[in-house]
Amino acid sequence: MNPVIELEKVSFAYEEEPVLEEVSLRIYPGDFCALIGPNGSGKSTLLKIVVGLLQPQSGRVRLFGEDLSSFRQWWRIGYVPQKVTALVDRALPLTVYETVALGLLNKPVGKSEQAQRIAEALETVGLPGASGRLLRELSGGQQQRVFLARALVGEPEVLLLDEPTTGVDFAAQEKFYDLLGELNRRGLTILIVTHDIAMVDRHVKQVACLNRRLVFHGEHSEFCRHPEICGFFSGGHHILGHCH
Amino acid sequence: MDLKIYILFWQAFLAGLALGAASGPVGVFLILRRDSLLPHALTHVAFTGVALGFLLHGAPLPLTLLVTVLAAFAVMHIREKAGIYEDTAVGILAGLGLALAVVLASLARSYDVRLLTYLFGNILVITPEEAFLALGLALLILLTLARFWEALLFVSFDEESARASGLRVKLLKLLLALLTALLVVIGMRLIGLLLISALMVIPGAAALEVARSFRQSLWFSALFGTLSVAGGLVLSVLLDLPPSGAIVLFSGFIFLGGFLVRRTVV
Ligand SMILES: Nc1ncnc2c1ncn2[C@@H]1O[C@H](COP(=O)(O)OP(=O)(O)OP(=O)(O)O)[C@@H](O)[C@H]1O
Ligand SMILES: [Mg+2]
Repeated sequence: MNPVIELEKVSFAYEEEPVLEEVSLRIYPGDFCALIGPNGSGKSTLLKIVVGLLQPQSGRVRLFGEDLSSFRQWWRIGYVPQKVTALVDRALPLTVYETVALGLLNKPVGKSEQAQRIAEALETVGLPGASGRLLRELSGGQQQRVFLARALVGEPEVLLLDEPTTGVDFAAQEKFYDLLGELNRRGLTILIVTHDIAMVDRHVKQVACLNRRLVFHGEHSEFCRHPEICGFFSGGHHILGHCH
Repeated sequence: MDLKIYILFWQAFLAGLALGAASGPVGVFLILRRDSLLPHALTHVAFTGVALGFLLHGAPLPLTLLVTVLAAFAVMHIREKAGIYEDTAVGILAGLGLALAVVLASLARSYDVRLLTYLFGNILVITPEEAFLALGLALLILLTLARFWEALLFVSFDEESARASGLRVKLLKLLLALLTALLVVIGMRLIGLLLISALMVIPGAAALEVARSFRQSLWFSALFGTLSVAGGLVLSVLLDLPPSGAIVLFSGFIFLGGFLVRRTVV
């Protein structure tokens, strides 16, 4: 099986200080991979390189087997940046429908199909009937789900999420990860940046640990057999149930 | 009123309405991008274009258009590359534009009433060609917005995601800069450089107060822009006021109305 995302010895620096060093990572169809690592370890940077927002100084990136420089089928990838809800301004009268519709701009569909797809995407994220509401009048967690719907509405094959559950309460987080698990079972490949080791433990299949270099990448069960990594990334608290 | 003047009046009137309708929605995007001072800076640069036109004894309009569009592109570019605060870039541009204009105008020995007509404009004395050009350009801007409003919304609201979804973000930002520059130049003759930037911000701001969706805010802003021009012109004829001042004051009343409506009804 060919990887959907393939990084080969990717190095990146914003200025002098390297942020990523020779990172090689392959994500395969059907993966549900958590990308973890301390603050400033380069997780967001890595996602931005994958979606073409940043160009690595060296190394290669391939999406669906195609080199990033020539890749154009962006609708195959859904992306939700970190802290996206911070963009929701008090002064902006944007409806939920209008927000989700933006996700279809790179994949033009007819008016009625658009309406149907948006309704479906909102249904999927558990916000049916919210399309007419103003984004700014929703809670932070609900807004997160609207942005997830925006990433899903084009029916991508891969989903890249950068800390999508920051500021979301425990029960809602649990539901959010259940939803991702369900989408993954339906065939969606997911790469999610998170600090929440407890969620990682219960829901994801693979784990990748980044700290400028890729420290570990493998099946979740493998990860648990490396107590030193596992302990380090859970702040030494051994939250990971299977770690002992 | 003889027929010719009558026709001319209606041409100017229509051009003004179209200008109002186009500047409202463009203003909404500028406000969304925290760029509502861009038109203000561009008016100063346009002034340079006018002075340059006098100095070279050329037609001020095409030269001004060129200079303003280039400046608008430059601002977009500088902000992206140099990481200068947006309002600082705008402040620098406005200052330099005006300074250059003053120097050029003095060299051209054109510190006279001709310069004033560009500063204050007068919708009631523009030539038929100018009216026709303004009308055409304003309609072109409206058509462009009808085609690209969603893409412009995406770029203005969430640039990172817009880029990641494959949109041509740079082109869209240049397009917005181009539309802004065009409006400044059209507005220069009709409303005047001193007040056109107000017509590009106030109707949009009023629309954002009352709209309950983004699409609505675009419609409202066009409506408020048009109403401002119509209402202002009527006021100026009835009360013998300068048209540009009356138009912008009228838009101010609309904003006040919107402001109060949002805070009492919602
Ligand atoms: N625009 C930027 N310019 C310069 N340096 C940057 C920029 N963005 C990030 N960095 C630096 O790059 C490093 C990696 O940042 P990145 O955002 O990828 O970390 P992260 O793993 O996502 O952290 P967090 O968990 O806090 O989100 C950090 O040391 C940061 O200081
Ligand atoms: Mg991050």
